[in-house]
Amino acid sequence: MNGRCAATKAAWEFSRVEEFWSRFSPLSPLGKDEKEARSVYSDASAIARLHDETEAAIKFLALAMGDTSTQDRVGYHLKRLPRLGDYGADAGGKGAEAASLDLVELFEVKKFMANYRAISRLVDEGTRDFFSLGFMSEGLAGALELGGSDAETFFIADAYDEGLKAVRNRIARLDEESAGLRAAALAAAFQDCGLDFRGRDFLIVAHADAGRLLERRSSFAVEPYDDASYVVRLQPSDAELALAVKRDAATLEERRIEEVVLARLSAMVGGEAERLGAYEGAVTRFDLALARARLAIEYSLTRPEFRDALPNGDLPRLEVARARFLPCAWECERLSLRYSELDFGLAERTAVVFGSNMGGKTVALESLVFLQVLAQAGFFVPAERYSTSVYPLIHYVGERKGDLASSAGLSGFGFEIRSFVEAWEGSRGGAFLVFDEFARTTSSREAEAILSAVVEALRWKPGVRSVLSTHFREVSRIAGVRYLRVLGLDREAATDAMCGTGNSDGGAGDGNPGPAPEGLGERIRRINGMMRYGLVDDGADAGAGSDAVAIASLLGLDRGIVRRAEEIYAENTHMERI
Amino acid sequence: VRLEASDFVGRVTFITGPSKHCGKTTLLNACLALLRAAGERPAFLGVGFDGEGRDSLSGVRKPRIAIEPGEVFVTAERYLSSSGCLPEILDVLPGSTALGRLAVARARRSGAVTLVGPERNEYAAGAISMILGEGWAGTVLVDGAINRITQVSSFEGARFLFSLRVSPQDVEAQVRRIRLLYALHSLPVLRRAEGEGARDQAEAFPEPLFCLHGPLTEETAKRIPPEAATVVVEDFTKVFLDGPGLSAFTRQRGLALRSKADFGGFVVVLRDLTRGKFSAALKDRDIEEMVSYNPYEGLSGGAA
Repeated sequence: MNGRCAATKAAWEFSRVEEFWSRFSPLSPLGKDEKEARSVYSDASAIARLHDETEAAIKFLALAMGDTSTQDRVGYHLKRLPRLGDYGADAGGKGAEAASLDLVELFEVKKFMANYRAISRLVDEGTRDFFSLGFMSEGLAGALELGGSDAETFFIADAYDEGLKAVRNRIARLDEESAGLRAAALAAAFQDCGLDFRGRDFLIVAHADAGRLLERRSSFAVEPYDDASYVVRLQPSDAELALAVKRDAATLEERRIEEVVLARLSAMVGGEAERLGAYEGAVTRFDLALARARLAIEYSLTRPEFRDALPNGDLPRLEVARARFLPCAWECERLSLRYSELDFGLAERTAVVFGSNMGGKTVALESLVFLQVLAQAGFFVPAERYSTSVYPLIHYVGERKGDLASSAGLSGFGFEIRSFVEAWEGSRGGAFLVFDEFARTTSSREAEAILSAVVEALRWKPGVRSVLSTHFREVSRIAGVRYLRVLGLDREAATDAMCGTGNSDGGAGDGNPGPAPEGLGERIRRINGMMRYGLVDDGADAGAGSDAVAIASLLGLDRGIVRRAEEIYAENTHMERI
Repeated sequence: VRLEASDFVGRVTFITGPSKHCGKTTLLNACLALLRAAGERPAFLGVGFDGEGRDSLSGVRKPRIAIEPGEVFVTAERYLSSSGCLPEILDVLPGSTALGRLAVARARRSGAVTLVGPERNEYAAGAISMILGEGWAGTVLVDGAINRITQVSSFEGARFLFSLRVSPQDVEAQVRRIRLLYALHSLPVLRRAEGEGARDQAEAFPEPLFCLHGPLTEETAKRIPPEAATVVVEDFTKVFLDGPGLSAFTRQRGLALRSKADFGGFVVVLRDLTRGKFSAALKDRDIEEMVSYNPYEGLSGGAA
């Protein structure tokens, strides 16, 4: 498919799409290849077609809901489809090349057609028409069916040529005669010399026994094996040799006729190459659509809506309603944590999301990239509504697990800037960009300056939707940019939790423990349970106190230090207001 | 012991050996003859491609393997037409080898085939699963790769035979090899803890137990916690210690297996050596009970 989107590896990894992708299970070999390609598209019509196909597959699954045997049988045949290679989807007029097909290749064509035709017959008319799963190659199928003991296997049967039948009958008679002579020779060897050659080409016999065999050299070949024994073989008789010569001649004739049959069948395949290619393409699309549809049903996914960018480079509103970042939701389920769905709307090109560390900014960004990548990969998305645009580039700038900054001679800051430069240069035709804690690796004043400049530049970049998260509050407020914050910690619950632990107050650094002894995993679980991942405008009342200080307290920071930090934070906030 | 058709019917048997010219392919032919005489239509395949051109026993060019109608085999597509057995293609194995793609075929008449099989254990296991799963054969013989006993564990429930050629020059080395394999095969089995019976069995082993994931080699042995009283490995094919190394290891702590491969015994081909001398070198009646001798010996005991 044309119109591949440059969804970067960074964006893919950041949004944990791979965890979703591992549940995407096409059944046919070509479907599996397509899965491995991890394609994300930037051609809106191509994406719309994939979504249409998913819808059609959902309809098919709904129709077959009461008939699981149909679904099972379709799955069975999809799994058995072989790749057709040059004479399949990639043929595109290579029909002439098909003249050289061998036994195995003809087998694959036959097996493909048997399973494809079975699928074509199993699906309802609407599905068949939608995916172009019709079968019109009865002539070729009929010809290939002549060779094979079942619908899939293949050999060059006698039925293909009268001459073949005759020569094979002759070979069978020669074999029978030869077997008769051999059986008689075996019996004589046993009777006369006590040598039992049944099932054995040769025997190892003791020196003493071999002596008398040497006298019958016309019947036996005798060669030394070791110091004490000999290898003895039964010599073929003149009559057996004569039969073998006749058989060789008959086999050559058989081979010649087989070549003619192969050429004839290959020509038939060549004549159908275009159709075979179309079948392969259609059944692969059907397989992929079914796999997407199964996910859509299992995880209640909905079709995303795409709106075109305006001629002036402005973008239509991004709407996210009750979206689930599935990898996070699955993790929460595993840890028995509450998961908050994301509701979010953005008319502006650029948004900045504030929030403290561990406050949920990253999850919000991950959710957005996850939805956008899935939507442009042709999948339905886990949201009640996801309205967006199609972007030629989806990119992430921020920390990456195992990034190569140090090996490339770059510091963490250098790596971030380099990554931004790539995003900036790559986004000329439009892009969906997210920046997680950009410039976090330098001082706050420098970071705020760089961030402000970047936000200002992005705001005017046509066709680019960008969302930046940061915990630096002094980023310039620029007209036309939306400033948001994550709802963050449920302070009331956090206060209750902190009080509930029965901590005693103490002076700074008094060595009193924070919350009662509790494992780190349990503490993180409690913090996550109190975290609200929604986004609200930054101007709205954020409530008193700092999320970061509260989180530090929940993580076990000395209670005295926590108290002092709260005081300093309150003083600074008061001064800022003045 | 003598090899019998019943040893093979309805099961998967790998024929392995320690080196080239150890008589694997000749043994395969002997096993096939037993099965045919019993009316069985087996499937057979190789692991990789044995490029050796000459047979170890007769010294002549290695014969291709005779095949009878109804039998199933695996080979590269280029060898199909020369088999003369009017092959019916049943399937094509995934991937490719240096000799091209591999096909599973059924002989429709007698012929002679060249075995070419998957190079990797898991692909060989996949081919066997396909043959059994599709019902093309119930009995499978595998002409295994030499000196790669790990292949046996790739297919659960497989049995294996170990073929060796022994001469006066290497009798001591071969006997050591036999003893080591016998010692490995005789290691006790600790089943996964599933219910009360399993716990009872675990109690027979000195504790604490240490489960080693992966091979037991001289290097990995050094990393085992010193307090481990019994080391448990997946199966004996994961033990890569030589005889002295194994003895030293088991003097210090127990060694147990999670599962036991089904071992059919040693098939010993003697050259310039009598059975008496071999037996005297082996000096172990228990092991000797697992030895069968060259199935091609004729008349009054052949070379004995």
